[in-house]
Amino acid sequence: MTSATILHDLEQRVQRFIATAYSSEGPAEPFDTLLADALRAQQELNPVYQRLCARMGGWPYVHTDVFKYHPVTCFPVTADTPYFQTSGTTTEVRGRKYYRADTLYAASALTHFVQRFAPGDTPCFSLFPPLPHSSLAYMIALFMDSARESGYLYRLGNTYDMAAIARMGAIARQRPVILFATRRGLYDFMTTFGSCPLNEDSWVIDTGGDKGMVNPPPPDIFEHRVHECFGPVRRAGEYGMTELFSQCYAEMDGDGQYRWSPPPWCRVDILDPSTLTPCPPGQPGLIAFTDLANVETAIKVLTSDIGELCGDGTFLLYGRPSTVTDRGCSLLC
Amino acid sequence: MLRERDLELQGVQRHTAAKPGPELLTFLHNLQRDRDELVDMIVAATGYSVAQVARILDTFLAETASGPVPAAPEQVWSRVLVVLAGNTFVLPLQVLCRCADLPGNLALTLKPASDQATLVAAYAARFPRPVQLVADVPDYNTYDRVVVYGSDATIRALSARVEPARFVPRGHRFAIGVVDVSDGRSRLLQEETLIAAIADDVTLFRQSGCLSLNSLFIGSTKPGGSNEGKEHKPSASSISAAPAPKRSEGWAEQFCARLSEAIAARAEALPFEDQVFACQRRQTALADEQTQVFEHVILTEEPRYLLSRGNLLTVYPFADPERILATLGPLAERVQGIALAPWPETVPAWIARTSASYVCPFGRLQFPPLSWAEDNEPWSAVIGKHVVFSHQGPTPHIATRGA
Repeated sequence: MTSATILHDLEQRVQRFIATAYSSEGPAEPFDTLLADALRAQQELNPVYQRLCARMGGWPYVHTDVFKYHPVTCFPVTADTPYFQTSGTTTEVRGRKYYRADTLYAASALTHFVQRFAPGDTPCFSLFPPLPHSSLAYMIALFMDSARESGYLYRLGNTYDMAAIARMGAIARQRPVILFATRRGLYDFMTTFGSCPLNEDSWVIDTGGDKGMVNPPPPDIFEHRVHECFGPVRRAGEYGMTELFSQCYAEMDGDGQYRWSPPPWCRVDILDPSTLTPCPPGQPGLIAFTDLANVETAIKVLTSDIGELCGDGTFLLYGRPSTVTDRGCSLLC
Repeated sequence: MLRERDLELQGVQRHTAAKPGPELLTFLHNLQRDRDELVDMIVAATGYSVAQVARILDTFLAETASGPVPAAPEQVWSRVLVVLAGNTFVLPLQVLCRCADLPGNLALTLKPASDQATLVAAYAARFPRPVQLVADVPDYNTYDRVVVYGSDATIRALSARVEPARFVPRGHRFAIGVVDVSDGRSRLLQEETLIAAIADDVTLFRQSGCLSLNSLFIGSTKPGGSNEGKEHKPSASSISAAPAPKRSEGWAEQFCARLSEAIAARAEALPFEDQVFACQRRQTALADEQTQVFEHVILTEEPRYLLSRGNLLTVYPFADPERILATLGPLAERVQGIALAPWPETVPAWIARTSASYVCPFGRLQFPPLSWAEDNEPWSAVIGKHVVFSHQGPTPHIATRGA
């Protein structure tokens, strides 16, 4: 079999897995069988993964930072290969995730979203603008495309679309809507408009992203502001990243805490940063993903995000340590 | 052989020959007297081991007692606030030492980080002058000078609250080391003392400060490299050969392996955040075709994380000093200290193209003298008023009209 055939065959199998994951019969094949075949293929077809396997042994995780310096793919990358790019400052090296087609991304994102929120024909709005090469923008666009009514409330160029906001307000007085926003976008909107009541069955889904907020409010204050602005809506969080084709979702529990859960085709482990061995529930460590939807790139991805397993299949997310350029400096050392 | 004093004369360092005054000696005596108590307090505040703290504190006290101190300005500002935001445990000591024996009625106020408040209070209690400690500052502009040691984020935040004329920011910096193997100096690499000194510069403060060694450059500063070196394959090109040779071949790999062992032997358990960064760097290096990763040392040709921490040293080869500057790129403006081996006979010209304010042999990076002009700004300029007193004499004849 050629490399293209191997990859195509695996993509088909992952596609079937995703399509059947939530069915009453369960997925088309066992997760571990598909994982083993996919890892063997990645070791053969992905030069970066090949090096990591040779140097570390076993089936290592690929750190998200590796995506900044190497094309992590099982296929040749050309100037025309589409990619998603991580956000960052202008001086920062950005990570790129190359892909050949968005089929698996769309299958993974939409299947999980529909399973969690059963949107039906619920109108979908976004405070996140349609930025190029942004996986978040792409995901929201997928959801908006699948909705009967949708609209961007925030335009490229830093202006609100007042007509779209008015339209959302008019719809949301009658029936539920889904509103996507980064936490920063949500905060700016709430500060600007103060009040924008939505139907109480509406979802306000934040996609993380405190970055750029000078003084991010504590979570309880933030939630209070959300309900002050939008009324007693339902709240959820989305946790994804450029390097992954799958997302995690969480609904806020009674303590105002998010307990995240991945879809069935993606597993989460928490690893000790020094040894990279799995941490038991309750012990904080690095969040690591085994995402079958990443079959074209790297299935096993290690992040710098800190989290903790809860023991019930969910995990807590504590965020990322402050960056090296943010750390303090001393006179003597 | 170039002495550090010569560097001063050539404008690279600005030491002064002043000796510790009575207040400083009293302060050092008090610290020495209560050394064991202070070690316990520092261990409690930082999580460092007793041995590590004792080693650092003893060295600091000895070096400060014998080293040059900053030149005292004729007048100092009356109200000086020093913000100590997330620094190492020696920084407050350094600040207090520099404020000893100053003329005038300096009212010194320290704003320590919350986790160091008790420790800084203990230091201040042993200082011969009264020092005010504050947890909050309602109005920064009531001080004549506001010196801020902290992260770039802290500097940014406070710059909005302090008038520029009063503000003395001390943001993020880092240190590099350069080992020159040209002219047969490759034998240096066999010296255990050099390896030990580099390992100390890496580990003493867990790579968490602006003079901690994060990046090491090994190569030749002379065109053509070393004759002796060629026998032992020490030229930069052998390091940069890709794919890299097996570990058993070539001194560079052996050197890195020995350095890694030395760092491991000195390294203490790192805080969680530092472990995360070390993991990040190691994983990135492992994925690179050009690099070799030892336990604590990455041998690489490409720049990766010059501003990082976690007891992981990045080693870069270089064929001439231009390569060092090219690797540093814009970060050359963030270099605070440079360690050199062997100690040169003349000041390397390329150093003037970095922002380095402290150049020293390996092993001394962590203990600059009090007279160190941090960020190229002498302490006397930070805290001193610059008033020119006119000499007494006849009033000059002032022309009634121009020529």
